[in-house]
Amino acid sequence: MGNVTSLYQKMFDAITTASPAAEVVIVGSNDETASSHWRVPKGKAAILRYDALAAPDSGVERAVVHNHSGFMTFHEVEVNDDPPSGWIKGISSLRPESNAQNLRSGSREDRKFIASHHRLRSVSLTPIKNVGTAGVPKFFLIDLEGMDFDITMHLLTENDILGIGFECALMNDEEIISIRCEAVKYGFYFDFSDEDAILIARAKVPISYDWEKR
Amino acid sequence: MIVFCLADVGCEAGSFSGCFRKDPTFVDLGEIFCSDTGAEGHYVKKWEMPSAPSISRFDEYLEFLRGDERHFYWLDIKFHDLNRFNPPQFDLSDPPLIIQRIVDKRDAILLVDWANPLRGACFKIQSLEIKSSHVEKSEGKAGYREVTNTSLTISTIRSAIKRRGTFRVVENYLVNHKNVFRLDYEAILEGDDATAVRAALGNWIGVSILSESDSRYRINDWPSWFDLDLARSVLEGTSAHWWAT
Repeated sequence: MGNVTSLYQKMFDAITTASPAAEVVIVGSNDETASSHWRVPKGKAAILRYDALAAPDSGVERAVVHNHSGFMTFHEVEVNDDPPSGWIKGISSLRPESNAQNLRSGSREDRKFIASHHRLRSVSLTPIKNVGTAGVPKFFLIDLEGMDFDITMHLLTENDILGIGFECALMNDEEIISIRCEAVKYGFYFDFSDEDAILIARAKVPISYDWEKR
Repeated sequence: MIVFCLADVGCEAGSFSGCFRKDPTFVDLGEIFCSDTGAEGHYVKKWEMPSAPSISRFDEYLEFLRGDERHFYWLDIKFHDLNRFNPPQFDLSDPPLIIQRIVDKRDAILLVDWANPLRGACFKIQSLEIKSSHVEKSEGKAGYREVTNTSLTISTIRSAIKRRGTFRVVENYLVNHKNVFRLDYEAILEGDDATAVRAALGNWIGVSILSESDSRYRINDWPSWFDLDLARSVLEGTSAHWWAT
């Protein structure tokens, strides 16, 4: 019989038992309804929120670009024009009603699109590797639509990572397998459901679940 | 006449051509650019040296072979050699020059890969004679025994994914070519239908005398270093899950 502990409970347990106390870093839409199934233990850990995807105002929407070296770059682009057809390549279902237009970087088309659109005001850049307090274990909860894969792959290589929770529903099989391979390489447990997934550092979590058999 | 065998490294294309080695009309020119041992292949040795690689010289070579209608020339080209006459390119609408030349002339192409790329990746690593540094050995009561190796298993899975991706790119180049025979490694060597599959391949090439398959190329089980449980957990729930069955 497999262990039926939900991945949300595992996340909760990992955060509450972490020593020293962990920080929970939430990066994404911060949409309470979308992320309500994540169980963030209140009062047990410092919670840091990074609002990557701002609400739209008068046709201006905020895009997030990850440049594959751990930087989240916040751009504001005019999106009254339709983006080029190849723009959302790799993002399988960008919800039309979403308040976010996410760009996956590395694609020249993405960068051209951003460059050709008017930036209304400059926005500060947030390197994801500088988020939170150095030396303190961090549990990242990320919700960046098509960006989850890139950010997760990057976070796995960082120090002080207690765990990562992210949405795997939009990922293709190859991305899921790549993340699991990377997790094994860097010493993380993994648990994937249809919608969400978590990775938890083996060295930092003494509790024993039957991790890889759900 | 020419039959191209397009395959990734580790497909043991020799096990395919070996099926026809007894037929006097069948001439196996092997890997025409270079072999695994580093020796120069037939085309390079006879036609290219000492001049630089050129597509026009390659065209001459192919015309020479096509002109001989009494023989079936088997040319083994590895995927990584397809870009020999042009810079590597990844735009599917613009296939490598070698592919364009083959397709224009309607030469027969045998496209080979493992149905199960994970087994292919294992087989490739096996055949590379794993060094002791790769496989941890622990001293148990019964002496030395091999233990499963986590990092080698993960590398094998990655390699299988990459292998499948490369194959799809090449397959896409050939999607409109009418004269392609797509064959799995397993189909020609394993199972009850293997003899029938070899006969069908021979019939397509135009060669009738079949040889027995070479048992050297058979793979019977997962290697001892391969952590099948780990592979299953990594592939679980994906379309690649069956690879670890």
